[in-house]
Amino acid sequence: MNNLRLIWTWIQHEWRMELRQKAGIQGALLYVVVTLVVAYQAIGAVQDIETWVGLLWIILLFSVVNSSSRAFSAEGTGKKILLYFWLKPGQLILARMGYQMMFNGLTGIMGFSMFGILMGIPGNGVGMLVLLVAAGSAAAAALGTFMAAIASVAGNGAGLSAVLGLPLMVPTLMAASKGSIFCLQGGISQAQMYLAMLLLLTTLVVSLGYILFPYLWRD
Amino acid sequence: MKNYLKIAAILTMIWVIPMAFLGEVSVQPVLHETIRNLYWHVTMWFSMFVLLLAAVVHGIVYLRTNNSLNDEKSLALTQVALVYGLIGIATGMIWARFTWDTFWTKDPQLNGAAITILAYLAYMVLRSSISDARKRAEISAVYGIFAFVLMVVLIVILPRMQDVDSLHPGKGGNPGFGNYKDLKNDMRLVFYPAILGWTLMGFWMANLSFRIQRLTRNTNATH
Repeated sequence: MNNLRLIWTWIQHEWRMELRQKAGIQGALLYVVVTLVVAYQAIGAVQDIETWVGLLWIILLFSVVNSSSRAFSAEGTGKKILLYFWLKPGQLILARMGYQMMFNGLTGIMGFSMFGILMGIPGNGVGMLVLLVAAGSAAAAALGTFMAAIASVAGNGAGLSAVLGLPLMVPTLMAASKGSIFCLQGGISQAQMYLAMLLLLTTLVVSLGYILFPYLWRD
Repeated sequence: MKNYLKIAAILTMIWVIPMAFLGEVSVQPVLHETIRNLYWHVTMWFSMFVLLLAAVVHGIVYLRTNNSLNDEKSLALTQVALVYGLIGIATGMIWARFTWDTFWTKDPQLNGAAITILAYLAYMVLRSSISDARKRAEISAVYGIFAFVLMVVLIVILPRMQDVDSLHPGKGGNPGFGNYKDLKNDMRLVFYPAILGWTLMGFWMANLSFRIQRLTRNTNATH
């Protein structure tokens, strides 16, 4: 219980830091909007369900990769040492992943709303779609956070974490886009199955991160 | 690697290679003689999977023991597995050209294979981006384990959970190879040894590559 409370405190702390700096959250939101407008300029409004879903998830995935790759880049050596003594590695990765999952779940929903306004929504089941967007963004964010940790320990920037993370995000992308297609076509029960699959994938990624992160963080 | 394993590898290959070209095969519509690719293409994936499994086991052992030998073995096994994967894709593309009339289709198994190759190419990029040996070993072991688990999810679980049509035998309503009524038992007698033979050859190649890399490093260190 104490453990969970510490992690929650840390998530709140990250949120406060985010609000104080502002550049991060503004950048993430602007990234979604810019990509959206560019896609809209290039393709225009899409009616075909599969293309619509594909475009939505490409935009969401890239914005998640972009914002979660910052997860471990902000602190200098001094803060790293502080973190090292303050939190156990498992607690740190859970807090970071949790924070990124919430942050990207929210920005994903915002991005989805803007996407819906620009492109229109070619079907029903918006509520389920919002759930899928939040769950898919959160799953990708958990993975992206871990890749950011790897890239930061490797002393490498955001480019590496995208190369490492994108291939591994494909199961998430497949489940999320399949679920969204079913959802728009009215197959809510199938969409629920894919939502459950996304949650399972997230659980898998978080537990792998919890097990493996201590080995990254030991020096 | 034990000598009797090397002898076993050579003997199986002496049996498999001529039989793959000359042995009797069952005649199927569309497939015809391309069914012989079963001995090359399919066996590559089996062997790749076994090699990657061994690489991950070495990665786990490295994280527990910090013995750099395990890291080097893991690297050598991954390299050979990557080569097998590329050969698997190449043979698969040739086969697809003759039977499905295209080099590449939107098939869950093809996508899975492509993603696996990309993830392990990223593994190689990750390795080459870190100069400190101990750090490189740690980080790449962590990424290797992570990638392997997700690859298993991708290849084994996802295609079964979703009703995507696959052109591969045994999926999407296609008959599996085992269901062909006249699949000659001769073919099984070549196919199973071929899996074993390629896997043993893979371990042997990995072993040689591991030893060469070790020798190169040691000679460089003494000069």
